[in-house]
Amino acid sequence: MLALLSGCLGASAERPDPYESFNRGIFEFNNQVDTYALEPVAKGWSFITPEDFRIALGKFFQNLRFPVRFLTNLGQGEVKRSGSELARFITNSTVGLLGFFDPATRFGLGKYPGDFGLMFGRWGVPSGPYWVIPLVGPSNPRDGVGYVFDSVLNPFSLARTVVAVSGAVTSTVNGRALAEAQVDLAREAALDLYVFVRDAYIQRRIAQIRNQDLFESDTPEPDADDLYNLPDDLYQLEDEPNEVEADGLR
Amino acid sequence: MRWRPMGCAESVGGKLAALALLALLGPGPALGQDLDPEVAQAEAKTTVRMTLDEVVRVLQDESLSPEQKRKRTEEIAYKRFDFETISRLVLARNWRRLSAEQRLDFVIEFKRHLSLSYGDTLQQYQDETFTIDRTRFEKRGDVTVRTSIVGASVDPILIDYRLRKREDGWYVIDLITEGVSLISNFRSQTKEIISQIGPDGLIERLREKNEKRASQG
Repeated sequence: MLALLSGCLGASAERPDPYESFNRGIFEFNNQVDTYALEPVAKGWSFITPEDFRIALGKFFQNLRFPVRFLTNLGQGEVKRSGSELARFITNSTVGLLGFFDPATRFGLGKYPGDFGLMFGRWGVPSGPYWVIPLVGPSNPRDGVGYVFDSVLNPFSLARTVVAVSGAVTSTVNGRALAEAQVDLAREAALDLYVFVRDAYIQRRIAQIRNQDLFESDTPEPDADDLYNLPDDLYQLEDEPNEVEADGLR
Repeated sequence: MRWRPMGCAESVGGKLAALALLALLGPGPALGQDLDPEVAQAEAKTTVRMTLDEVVRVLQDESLSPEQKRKRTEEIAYKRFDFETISRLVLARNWRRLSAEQRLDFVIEFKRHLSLSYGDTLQQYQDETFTIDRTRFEKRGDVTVRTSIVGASVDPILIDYRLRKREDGWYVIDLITEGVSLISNFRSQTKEIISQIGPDGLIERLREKNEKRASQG
């Protein structure tokens, strides 16, 4: 069904963003919400809490999202990784005091991020066209469906209580506070913020799906060929004006 | 004699002189093809380590003001990044559409732009440490050095530096943050902007952004 969904919304590699003008509208809306609501709250949060606390809290929330990592690694046949995540969860929830600390990493238990969009991607489900979802941000049909699964398995959506809602809000605010430097950089550095974010999202997902751990191997980046290629004729371009002159002289 | 790519174009007053310099000083050809992968990876790794050590020393020097720190880190970046190759790779096919003068303007403004935006971010990382994790030998004799910034957030931030060898050493030609290449990202942006407002429009937008930030101090 997923394959069908993505298949019929075919976005080609040359045209990853067929709904650009619509997406730009939603992007602008999200950007305003961030600027006028989320960012000020996150800044206030940063002001009243020490950084170490925000990082520990971030670890706590990350620990709680263990079911998604466990299941999606398993779904890709990565049994060892799932096992490592399980061992991490047990260790950090106990010795790590409910996950605020991460002794598991020191014990050599590796982290293996995972989400449903990523798992579908590894299964070969194409992403479909780029979508910006209101209040969620950059996505696509594949990752959007994945996001629904991720959310359902998030412990905060399992219990509909005040605790759950405030947990979700705190997680969002805390996450935004921790990402302040990166968001600042994007806003400063981007010449066209929409394109900057869109390309960063698409590239990052491709890198994740390709499995960044492959860095260990000696295999060069497969698609990087075109990116770093300075064809010889580009080098000769500096002589181009001279050639034109020479032509004129002839 | 050792020429650094674009090392001193800005300090030269006249644009004509700078233009002549660009033609003269353009980095020599990349030496990639016959490199020994082992040696290349070791050299590139050392280059990255020395550069990052230098940056950390500046960031942690409490006798320096933020402005002095920005200036020092900028100097370090200027001598280790090959901004001309970066500019060419960013503009890709569009490089052909630019006149020699537009190319020079683009390289200068883009260099300032990267320095201003990344320099500000760097300041926020003064308490963090970095590790150099792995290296990989790429096509064309490039080497990618993977580093992580530890302590800034829940997970380490992965930053890969892609380096290319020139006659006088290794130069950074791309920064890949969490799988996102600076070259690729700015290529898409500049492509879109050039198609809308042309090369002069792009250079003007860069210049405006830079002036605005420079005046903000």
